[in-house]
Amino acid sequence: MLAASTIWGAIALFALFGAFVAWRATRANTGTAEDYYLGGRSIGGVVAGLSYAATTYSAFMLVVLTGLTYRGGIGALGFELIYFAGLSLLVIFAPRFWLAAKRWGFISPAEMLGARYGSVWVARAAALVALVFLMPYCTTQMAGIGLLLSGVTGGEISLFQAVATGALLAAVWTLFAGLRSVAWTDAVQAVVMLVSAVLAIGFAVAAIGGWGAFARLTMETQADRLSVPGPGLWSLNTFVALSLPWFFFAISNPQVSQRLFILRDMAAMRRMIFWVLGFGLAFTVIAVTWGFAALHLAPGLENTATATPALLTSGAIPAPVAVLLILGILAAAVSTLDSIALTLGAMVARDMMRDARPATQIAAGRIVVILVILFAGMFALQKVQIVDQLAALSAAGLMVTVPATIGAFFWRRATAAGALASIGGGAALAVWMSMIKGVSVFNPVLALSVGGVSVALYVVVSLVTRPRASALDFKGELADDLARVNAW
Amino acid sequence: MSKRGGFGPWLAVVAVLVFAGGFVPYGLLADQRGWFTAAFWALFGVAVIVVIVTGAKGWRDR
Repeated sequence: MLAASTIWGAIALFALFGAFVAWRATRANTGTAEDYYLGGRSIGGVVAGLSYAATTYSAFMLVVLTGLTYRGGIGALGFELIYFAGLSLLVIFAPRFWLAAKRWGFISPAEMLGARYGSVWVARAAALVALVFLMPYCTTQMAGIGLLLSGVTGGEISLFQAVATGALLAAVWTLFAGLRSVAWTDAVQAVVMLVSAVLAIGFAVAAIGGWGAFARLTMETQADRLSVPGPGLWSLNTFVALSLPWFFFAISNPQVSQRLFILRDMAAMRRMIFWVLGFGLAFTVIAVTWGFAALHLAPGLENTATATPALLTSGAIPAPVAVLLILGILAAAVSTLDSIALTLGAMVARDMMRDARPATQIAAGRIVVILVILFAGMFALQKVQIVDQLAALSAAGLMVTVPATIGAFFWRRATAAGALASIGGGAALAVWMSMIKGVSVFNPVLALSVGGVSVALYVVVSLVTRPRASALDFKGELADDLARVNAW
Repeated sequence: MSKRGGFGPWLAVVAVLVFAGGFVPYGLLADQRGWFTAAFWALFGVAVIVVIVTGAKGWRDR
């Protein structure tokens, strides 16, 4: 076990450093809502890329994905790489999101959808869906922090204390300076995440006897986990159930799609994507390898979500490296949590209070940040055991905005009624199937039904209704801009 | 202003790649002992990077 005092000391140093970075970021703020939520649309490629990566690659990776690897084997790598392949959507949608936001001044993805369809109710529906379905994802981050800190200290740091710590860090860094402090602290946290993970995996593999021994031992003792379907978790059904919603992550999750609004120019956008690709592939391979290492160094775990704390306290990882990795996972969770909280704050401020003064919108956003973090923390304390299911439910639920988002840029005939029907109908189905009928998120019927119904409603209702007079023509109006920046 | 060509073939490559990402491990390599599936998915990840870089590299600011 690691001493609680050591962990607290490390967290205190980390918090101070993060507070300094956030304070420096504050000095550039100008007081407008655009500045608070989007950093004045002037963020460069490296910071944006590391921020995007840190927001995406959360505590999910080294807690949940590692646990899924431990339980089911190599299928976890394939699932995560299908999400990775979904980043190809950025080639199509990143220029469109950025150009649309620049031209019309959008601050949130929901606002963009509302303006496209000429309906404030579309914006509100998208914001509400984000609020509802990102909450489980926030809870995953809190639960991840809780499992980790209480796990490595043998309960000396209680679940409550761990969750409260994560909540406090996320809240302070977000409230300080909005997107600027979130992006800069994200960038620092991404470096901590990757460096600590590389060091930790190096020591874990060394404890097993090196890479050759690791490969040999895995073949000898875990051969069934090296293929799919493996010992059972990664059946084709489960793979489809999890991969399908996650493929659309880049355009369905507003905390990352909003990152497309913050960029300075197309060169920054390209650089951001390249950084995300490099970070993403490396971190994915590390998280899965870590899971296999845990099978060797901490075998026989009943709760596979505790694979990381068990590995960190197995004796294979030197205490300083273990502490650094703990900070890395804490950083991953906090960066995701504060990005989500800020995006939800922006959505409430812009889509629910669009006529308010900028100062009021910022204040409202700050209140939402606090409430989101508080609620996620409280829920995490109740439901920490089902952390993987909560993350999967989040992805499946957020898929309901995908038809309206794709159609916004490619189908002029699409209507506000169609968008509303697909978002509302799809969301209602997701909630009914998962919460009332108890359909598991590992059952592809959930994702396929939600996705299928959303698409069907979007198309059918659009065909029997008319576009609103105030709807924007993204396809027509952005065509010249897209050609100018040489995007498809 | 002239539109950039090649989107159709690029999209087709993405579709084939994503399909292969599921079909190969669950079809051709199902239950195969050894590091084949891991190696395939590692190469798949690299292929994804190549495809995305190809799509984004022509972007410019004017």
